Amino acid sequence: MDSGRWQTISAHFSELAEMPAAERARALARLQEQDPEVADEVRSLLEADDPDFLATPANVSLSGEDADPELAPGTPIGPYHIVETLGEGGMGIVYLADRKDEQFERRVALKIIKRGMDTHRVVRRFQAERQILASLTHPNIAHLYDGGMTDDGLPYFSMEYVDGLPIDRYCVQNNLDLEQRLRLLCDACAAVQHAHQNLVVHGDLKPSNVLVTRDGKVKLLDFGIATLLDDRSGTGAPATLHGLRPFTPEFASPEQARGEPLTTAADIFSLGVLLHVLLTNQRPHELAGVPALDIPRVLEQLPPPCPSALGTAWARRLRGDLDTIVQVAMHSEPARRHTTAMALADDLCAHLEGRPVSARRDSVRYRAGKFVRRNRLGVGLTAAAFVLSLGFAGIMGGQARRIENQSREIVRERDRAEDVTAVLVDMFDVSDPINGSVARGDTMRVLDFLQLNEKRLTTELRDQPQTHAGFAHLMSRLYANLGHYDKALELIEESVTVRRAIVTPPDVELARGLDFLGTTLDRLGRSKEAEVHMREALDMRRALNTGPHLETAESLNNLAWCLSSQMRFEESLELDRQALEMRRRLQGSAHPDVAQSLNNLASSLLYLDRLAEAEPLYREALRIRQTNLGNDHPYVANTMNNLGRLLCDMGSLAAADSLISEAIAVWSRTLRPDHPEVAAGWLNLALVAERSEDLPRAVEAMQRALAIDMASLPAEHPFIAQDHLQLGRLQLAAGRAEEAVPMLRQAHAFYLRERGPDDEDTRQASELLKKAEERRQS
Amino acid sequence: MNERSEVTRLLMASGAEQAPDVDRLLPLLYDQLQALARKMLRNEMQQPTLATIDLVHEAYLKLVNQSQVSWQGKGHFLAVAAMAMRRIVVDRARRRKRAKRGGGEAPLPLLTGVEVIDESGNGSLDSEDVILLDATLDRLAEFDARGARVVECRYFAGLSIEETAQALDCSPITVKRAWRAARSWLRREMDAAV
Repeated sequence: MDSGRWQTISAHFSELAEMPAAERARALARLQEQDPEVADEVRSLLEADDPDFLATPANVSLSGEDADPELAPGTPIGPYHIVETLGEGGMGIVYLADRKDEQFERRVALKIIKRGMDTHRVVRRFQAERQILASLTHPNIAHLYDGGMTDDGLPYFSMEYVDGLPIDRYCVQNNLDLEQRLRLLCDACAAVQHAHQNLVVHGDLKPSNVLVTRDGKVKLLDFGIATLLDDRSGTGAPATLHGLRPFTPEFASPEQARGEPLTTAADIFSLGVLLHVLLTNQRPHELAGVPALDIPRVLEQLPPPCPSALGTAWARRLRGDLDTIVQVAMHSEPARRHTTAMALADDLCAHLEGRPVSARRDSVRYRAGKFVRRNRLGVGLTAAAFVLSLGFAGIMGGQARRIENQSREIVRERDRAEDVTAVLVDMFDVSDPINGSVARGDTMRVLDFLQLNEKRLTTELRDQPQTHAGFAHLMSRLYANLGHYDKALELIEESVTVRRAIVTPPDVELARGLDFLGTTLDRLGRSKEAEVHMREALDMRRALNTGPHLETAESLNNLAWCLSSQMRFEESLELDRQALEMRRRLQGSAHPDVAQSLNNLASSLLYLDRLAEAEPLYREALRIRQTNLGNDHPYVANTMNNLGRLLCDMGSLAAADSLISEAIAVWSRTLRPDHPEVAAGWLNLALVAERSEDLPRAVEAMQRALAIDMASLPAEHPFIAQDHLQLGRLQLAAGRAEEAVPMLRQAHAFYLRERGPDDEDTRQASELLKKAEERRQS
Repeated sequence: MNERSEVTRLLMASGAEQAPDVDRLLPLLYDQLQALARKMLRNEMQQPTLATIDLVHEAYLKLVNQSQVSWQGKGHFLAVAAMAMRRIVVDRARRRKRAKRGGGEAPLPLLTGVEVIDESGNGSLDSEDVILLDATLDRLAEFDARGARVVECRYFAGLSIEETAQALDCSPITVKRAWRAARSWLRREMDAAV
């Protein structure tokens, strides 16, 4: 090819690659008429166009220099000594090793990552396996002992050494009867059930991973490709060239062969295949020689297995129940299989005991059980990173839809569609727990995701201000939901700045940005600045919408909140009333937004000590939120906590205690235990404990509040001063003057600086500090 | 003269009109990047692999006196560093492949599953693929020099679109187009070669 010709071809390619499919087909057809040779080239290039190809840049590792020989017997690894090599897998070598010291002697299987394999991806997967093993404790699962790093810096872990035979060979060698075989499979089911209950899918169940020891004990091995359903630990499965993960074709379900996310149903299928093997000494199908790419199609087209038709020793006893159980477990549709491994085991037991089994051949009555569905959701979320992050934000309730709309709006910017798609695809790549380069717990994952994509804002989107502003706003919201207000502020400021440069006010998006900027500043304790932005947003929204409008109501609500942070409760009360009225008119009386207004209005009343008026409002807010959002929602927790505080002030300590404790539990479940919201719960609980004259508990609760606030808020935040003051006061009351002094000192310094010597809090802090210092002396 | 001032000097001598002295800069960066890679990998036990982009950025901080080097100078640095990274990555892939061949028969897998796909890769490619990519890239360079440089920058050095544009002194849009077209051509040719 010469460069002139390439220029022609690549120019056509670039143009066509960016077209929607239909348009592209027409353009290709035109090109075909003009220049068939060029058209052919362009077409084949379009076919080869693959965003994944070369998408992950190269990396270097020490391993390139020399490959490891296998470790010789006697080599020390941590506290172990190598005995011999047991086997070698894709990423690691497994050795038999001994641990000998004064206390005990132990024989272990030592899995060491292979040199040359210690790429990021493999190390993460290796660590994931270790973490998964650590989370499982079951007599039928080989368990993890410990792990570490070899002298050469290679990660390893040690696990129970299982001296046994693959389950199928064990059955044949020991000439087990049908009942004994079924009992063994039940044990395997129990182990799988345990893994599933811990949200782990094994993903590669087959005889060589289900061993039976000499004394007949089943041991499940090799969680090397296992995935975590809810992805708490991060990375489950390996990334591979085409996004497929390794599997064993003869034991894999059709959906697994298609490369779909692993679910518990995939393990049920594999258990079904194992059952087939134990019943007949044959696999239901042989796939040797079938090209990897054809396996999914072949698996889908296989007829339902029929063990009794294979004419083996127990053929007659297989007809009926056992045929049906195998067929149900191996159903091509995951939803038609046994819902749990235990259900499969139950059917086997029922058969053994002559009870009717639950499995019905392709019956309509298949249960889409709660357990499996919930887990499917987990997998579904992790399968798409963008959805994941939205899904996570989804627990923030009302925000989710807004964020979703926002992202949809962003995507709707048709003229910029290509770049947005590229960014989304890239985001997807790094955040995908299966293929991505990011690890660790839900929260960490979203955080990693955000951090990784921040750079794009400044680089790739620089020339697309609208998209830039939209993404910055979106990411700011996600950060705020995660309780990282400083990052949220940075991003929303960026979004507003970019937006200001391209729009003429009043502008809907700019108003949204300003409102959120205000909200974020207020969360950071900068409520005076916040007020300025919120008022600008409110003015803009009033100019854009005459009469009642949802966005105007939102502005009123948020401004009221900001005023109450400044302790201007009369003003906030008035704005809360306006917002409530507007929302009721627009959304009816049972809408979650109305609940928000009720909650905030009640809070303003509470601060003004109008307790009797506040109580029915909190209760109505709680009722609306529970009806709309269920019990497990941060907003529900918020109202429970507020109501608890009110009841505490009214003297109903027991009721207050249980509401606030419940609020803390809900927050901890739905956000995380150290989310800044939760501090509000501990603060109130401290108050309740104090009034119940349980000072140690009060001090402890207050310490928790302080710890959370310190970790998530800027040092000069008024909440922290409040925490110091209250904690100091409680410690002093509990006779712990020594500890109280530094707390009170910090509170006093803050109030003196921020509010002057005559402020009520300053004086209180000063008096308490004096008292504490005196008491410390004596 | 130490490496830092030597690299800086070579970059300063180049400018908007003047291309850098690749013949002298390249071997210098090759050695320095190798040494730096070993050092960083040894210091970071938790991270047994190193993204090439981190290496390039670190090298820039260590080897270049930023106050003396212009924007173009940094672009030239990135471009030559990308060439060096390509050689380093490909050399390592060659060594790894040899090592594998010489390593004798592996025992049969016992505790791990049949893995349908080779995932011993570097980024998304395994050693053989890296070597094939290197050869295919040479063929591409015969008629699309820029496309080949873009792939060097993007894949081998991990540069962003922006940085690649800076390195090759063209617009990000040009980089994006060249990247996509070159990648498709490479993929097609590499698929045909396997």
